[in-house]
Amino acid sequence: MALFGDYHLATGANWSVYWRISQLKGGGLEVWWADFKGRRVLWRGTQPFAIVPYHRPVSEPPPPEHTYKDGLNQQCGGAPFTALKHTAPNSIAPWQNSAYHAAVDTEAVVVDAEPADDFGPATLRIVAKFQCGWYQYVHRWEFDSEGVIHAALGMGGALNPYAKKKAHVHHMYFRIDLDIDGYGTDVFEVFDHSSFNDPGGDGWTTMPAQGKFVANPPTARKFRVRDLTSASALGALRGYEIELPQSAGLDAHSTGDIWATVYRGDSVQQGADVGLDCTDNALQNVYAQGPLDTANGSDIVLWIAIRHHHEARWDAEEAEYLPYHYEEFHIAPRGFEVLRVRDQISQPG
Amino acid sequence: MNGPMSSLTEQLAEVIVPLEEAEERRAVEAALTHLDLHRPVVYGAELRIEKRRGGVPDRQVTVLVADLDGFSVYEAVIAEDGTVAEAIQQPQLVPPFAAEEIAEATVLARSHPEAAETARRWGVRPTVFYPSTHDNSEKAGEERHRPRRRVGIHFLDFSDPTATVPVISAVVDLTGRVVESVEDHQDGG
Repeated sequence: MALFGDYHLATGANWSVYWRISQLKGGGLEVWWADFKGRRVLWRGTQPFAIVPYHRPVSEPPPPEHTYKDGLNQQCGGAPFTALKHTAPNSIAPWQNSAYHAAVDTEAVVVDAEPADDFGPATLRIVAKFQCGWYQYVHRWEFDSEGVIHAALGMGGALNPYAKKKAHVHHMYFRIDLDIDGYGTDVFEVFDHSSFNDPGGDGWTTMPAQGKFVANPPTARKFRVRDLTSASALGALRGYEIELPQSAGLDAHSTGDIWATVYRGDSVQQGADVGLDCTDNALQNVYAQGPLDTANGSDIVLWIAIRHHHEARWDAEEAEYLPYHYEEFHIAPRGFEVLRVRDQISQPG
Repeated sequence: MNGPMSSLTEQLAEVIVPLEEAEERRAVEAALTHLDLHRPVVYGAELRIEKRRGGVPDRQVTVLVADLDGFSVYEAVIAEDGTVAEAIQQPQLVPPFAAEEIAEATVLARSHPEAAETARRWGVRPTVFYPSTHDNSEKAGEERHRPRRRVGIHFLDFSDPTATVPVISAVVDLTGRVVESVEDHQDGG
């Protein structure tokens, strides 16, 4: 068994999921082959990098961009994600003491299976924390017994000792390779609510080409990957949809909310070649290029950015450490499965 | 009730079993023999599984290595029979520092006359950083064409947890085994 890079099985809440941590390039926690009730949902999900521009003037991050690319193939003065023991404190201590670094992946990852309670479904949670310079990032994936995937990123550790007062934005990128009941027959669609007058008040548009898309709260915009061949018991074509509750906007370094691309391998287009210029431009200019097959389907891969503007509380709460702050989004089934009251489970296993 | 695994995942069972120590050693040896590097650094080896439509993926191993002479990074893919399927140079990849790289860089930084005294002060400890390649200066432009393994060492005073103070920083060139630059932060530098 290798120290890092092996696949580990986790089950619970009607899910079967593998996880792994690759330390070779500093990309963090990965989930693989996530199956819900015996059907494939996700080939692979990662949160491989973040782009973090700072207010100026500032000496660190360095000029001219004053923007870190953290994580997989760190650039622009950023740092890779280094797995910490899950017991490592949320403080600056793990930055200065490698004794807190996980020696093996199982020291880093915590897997919890929680039963349903009076207010929600059962869950399978896979979580790990990573040192990244003075910061810590928590990578958390939750799979619930109603088929929803909750993808979250937590930020903690300590403020930038070179610029404690400086506000900055965390743009956090996820690579989501949905394979709905198998791969190669999926389409990418965009939803907009345009009016309250039916028919046509709401509509899904099937996209004929890869590209960049942005969230649009006025039209309740959301996105989905839908299989063209696999249907639920009531005849709906199986799919998973994504809504992005953004708490910060786009800027010159982070230019979109979601990119629809196609699978080109598990060793290429993983994000290592994004951010060489301290921006995410390569997602559009390199990755999201070419047509999508709307008739027979494609093997869709989505890149998703969520973000948080951090106005540092340097003279009070955050002077010594950063309480973990989480941002998340949800990947929810649509047409995938008829949920039965009798199947609500109270046991975690 | 356990979440039942799909038949697609069940088919993967044999190819995703953990990497054995002997398998890892064979893969690293195959990569090093194939690449024949002058000053090799091995960053690690791990399983590599690629999606294959209509079939079970191959079990392969990726080995990430670099040559400190000129600093070239290579990703070697080793097939299940132990042969090198491909070895690709990755000029844009900056691997996370290996422990031995950090140790060597810290020794070099501590021994530099501008850093030695400060770095040994009570409460001052080293941490690493990844020097930016986005310096627009003329010197940086020249240096970009000569790849080197550069390790940044921050020395900070950690004695007050609410006021961590940057003291001095050094950039160490492990390819040339020299301290490239030192920046003193105590004078606002």
